[in-house]
Amino acid sequence: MPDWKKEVASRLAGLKVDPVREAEICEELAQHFEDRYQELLRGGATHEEAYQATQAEWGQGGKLMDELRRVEHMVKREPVAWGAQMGRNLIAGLTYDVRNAFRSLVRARWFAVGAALTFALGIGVNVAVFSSVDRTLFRALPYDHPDEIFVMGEYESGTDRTYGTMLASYVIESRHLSGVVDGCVAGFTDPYSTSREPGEETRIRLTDVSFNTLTVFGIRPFMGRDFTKEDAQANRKEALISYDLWRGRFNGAPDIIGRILWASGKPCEIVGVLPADFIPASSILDPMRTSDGLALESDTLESASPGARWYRPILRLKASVSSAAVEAGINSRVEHLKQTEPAPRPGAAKLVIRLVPLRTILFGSYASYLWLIVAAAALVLVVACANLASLLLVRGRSREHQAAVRVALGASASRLMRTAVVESLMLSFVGTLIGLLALVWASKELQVLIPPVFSRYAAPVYDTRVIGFSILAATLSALLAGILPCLRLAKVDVLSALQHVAGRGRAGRLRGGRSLLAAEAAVSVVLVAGAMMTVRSLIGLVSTDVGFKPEGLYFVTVLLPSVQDPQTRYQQYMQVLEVVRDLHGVKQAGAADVLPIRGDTGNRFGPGFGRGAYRWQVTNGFFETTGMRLIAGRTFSSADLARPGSVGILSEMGLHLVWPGLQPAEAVGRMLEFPGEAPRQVIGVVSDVRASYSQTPWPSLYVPVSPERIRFLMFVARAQTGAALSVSELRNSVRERIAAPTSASIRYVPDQFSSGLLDQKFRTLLFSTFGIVALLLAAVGLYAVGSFEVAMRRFEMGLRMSLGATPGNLQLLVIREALGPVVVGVSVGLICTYWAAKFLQSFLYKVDVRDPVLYVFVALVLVATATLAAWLPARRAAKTDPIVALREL
Amino acid sequence: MILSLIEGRPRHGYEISKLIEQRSRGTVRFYVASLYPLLYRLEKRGWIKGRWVEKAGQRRRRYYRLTVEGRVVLAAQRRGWKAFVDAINRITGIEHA
Repeated sequence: MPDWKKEVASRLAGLKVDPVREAEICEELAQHFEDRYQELLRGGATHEEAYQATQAEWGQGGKLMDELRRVEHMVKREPVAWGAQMGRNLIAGLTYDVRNAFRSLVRARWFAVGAALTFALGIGVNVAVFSSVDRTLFRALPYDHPDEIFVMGEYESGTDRTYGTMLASYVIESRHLSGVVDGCVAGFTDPYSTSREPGEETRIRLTDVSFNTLTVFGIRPFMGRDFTKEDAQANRKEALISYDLWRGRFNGAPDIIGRILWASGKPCEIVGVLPADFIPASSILDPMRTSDGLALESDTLESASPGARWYRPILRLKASVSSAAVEAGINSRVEHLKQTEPAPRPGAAKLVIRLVPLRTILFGSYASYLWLIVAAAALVLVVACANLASLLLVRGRSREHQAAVRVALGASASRLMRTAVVESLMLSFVGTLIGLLALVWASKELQVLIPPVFSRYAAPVYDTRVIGFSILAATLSALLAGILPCLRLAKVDVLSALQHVAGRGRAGRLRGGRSLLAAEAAVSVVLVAGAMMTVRSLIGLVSTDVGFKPEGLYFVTVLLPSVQDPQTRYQQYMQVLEVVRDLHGVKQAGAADVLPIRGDTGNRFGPGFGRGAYRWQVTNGFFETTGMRLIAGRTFSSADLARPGSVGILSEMGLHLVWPGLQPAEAVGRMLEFPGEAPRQVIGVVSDVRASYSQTPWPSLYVPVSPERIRFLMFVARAQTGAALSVSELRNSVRERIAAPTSASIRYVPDQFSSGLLDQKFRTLLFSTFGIVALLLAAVGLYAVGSFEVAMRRFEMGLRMSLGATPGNLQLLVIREALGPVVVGVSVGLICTYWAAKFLQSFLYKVDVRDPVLYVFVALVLVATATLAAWLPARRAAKTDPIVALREL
Repeated sequence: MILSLIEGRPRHGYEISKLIEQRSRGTVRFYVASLYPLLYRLEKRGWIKGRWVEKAGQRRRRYYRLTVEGRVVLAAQRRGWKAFVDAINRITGIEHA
């Protein structure tokens, strides 16, 4: 029997392929011959006949070797016409594109770095903003069917003014409405019951809620159990603590259930832990206040007395009913109730019940502010994309020759476009990665700058939605930046591109680039104007006279155990004042029943006066300690304290309120008369004070403290330079000299002003950054396009010079042409700013958003920046050597 | 032709050559010199994939199967072939029933 393997091997000698491959071919072919040979034998042929017939399979001599050699040495080549196999192998095509784009970007590494950083900036800003506003603006609240949850409130008809509380009888009525899910009306109290663990300095703040609160929200505790009706009825003290409190203060202890907390001075058992994303229930009134959990309110609606006042209840409506129908139902029942009220409240007739979606209550008041930031961030991205589009356009134009060669070799337009898009995508994704890394790196530093409205509900960078947004933003901006250059590339004129090289008199203008520059300038104007407005607002704010001297001033609060006798109470608090005066480092101290400089509202100015004008009871030394300016007359002496009903001091606005037009000096000595009160002599006029820069001062009347009219006193102390007051010293001294205080605290007054400024500072910083970034990007874009055009028009410049143009003429020519689109853009931008300014107005302090001076200034800044950016290429144009330029022809 | 033969299941070289011979009733015959270079070429193009398979009591054989890409190519070629045959039929006057 023939050895086919040996025969095949001898015939294939000299094939020059990998030995393993050669062995495989040998085996396969030998098997074929073997099969054929065996078949012929089975068909009745003799060995000799079968061998001869099988040998005939070799065909013509050498053919197999030739064919095999051709196949085995075949190199898998990329087809000349790029994209020819696109439909057949998408992944391979893309891999090729990515490789190609990577190589070309490595070659142009400075361009790549600049473009990636621009993307990083534009996308990073937007990702940061998105992660901060996602939960407040876009994401559904973390409750079951959150759209069905509403907050019920009593509003003044036709306005948005509402009261914190409402009658329990109204809440009880709402339970019987058919549109409300059974048992889904939950009540809250606010302010919370605050408490401190014995021996602990930090307070735990719990919101008192009705037992069915989690049922209304449609959530389960993260750990432990929910409150029950039985517990509420049995008046058990129970708490559901927040996830943060559990993780932080209790170090995530697994045995937390059953531990005891102190709430309102009573032991309270922890029955569960709330889910991590539960928005504190105290946030019904203000989502920016923190709550450490919920405490069970023993008052169920069944046991509530109809006359009691409840905080705004939360209710869940059935999916099929509209809130308007339920609202109408409640109002008709409430109308009925009002008629049966024994003593109608003043103004009650004007009050209506409204159901407001939970999201609106939580974040509605912040929405316009948040949208403003979102819009500003989006504009930065638009500028970044426009900038990149112009850079890519310049790059595309300089690579037209290469593109033309590819088209000549058979590449389709779509193939060329795909290459450009892949390049743009690669840049944007690298940029996004840089942006995200920068955000992770800087997140701690950013937290300090960001006001609570952003930081409290900010999602981390690794959140799926944030990553999804980043990918979306990267893709969109890559397409936005890449589309124009792509279209230009698709229209490349092969013949003309192959015939010319850069600088040889081909039309030097960059089509599309100028429109981009105009767009960039327009958006930059809006952002720069926004920056200037916020800066002016901040300067206006911090330079506002607050009417007193906050530096070195402290608020001192001491609460003593309650005493029934007013005289004893007065004496005790006056002793505390002495203690404060004797504290180490205190220079001066004074006291008042309520502090106007803390933003608290006082008692009514006088009989017949409504809200907005107040009367404050102060001790001697109060004005001197706070640093309030005395405008006329004198301040209270200790003798005045002995006759509190007979003297008073007016603030400037207070003077204007009672005697409009009267000079302060003329008011001193006059008698102030209120019905039902003894006449009071005005002994002085002091400056108006504000508790924050943006607050409008209240018309005020200051009177000496009267023992009968105070429940406690609040103190102010001015420290000696460099001294800091000690709260433990305060507590010990009060304990030694009077009684153990129920609470004692010291707060530095300027902190109140800086925390009030946080929002303004952040806004200013944000808009200034946006403005500067936009300005820089616009300048870079202009410079790039200008440089490119100058390079492309070298021949023209040379020709002009040889015909007698001076370098100055050429500079002027380049700058004039560069400024054309900028002027158009600035004009459009100013119109847009004028229109958009009304959205910014409510966030600004004493800034006229339609001030023409501001607009002129913004226009000048833009034009000056553009001139500078155009001047650099213009200088290069002016240095053109006509001989060298013309020789290139 | 080869692609369509291995569309249903993988086959080895000799089986393919026999099938061509049988189905064309001897009209078309592939010799070793043309069959195997063709198979290797198709494999290099990624349309088919060969794999050594060992079966009990037999020597190992190299079976060829159609790749996804090969399937796409086969479909395209079938369409082209059909159009061509239709055109020829129309020219030569043979009408479909």
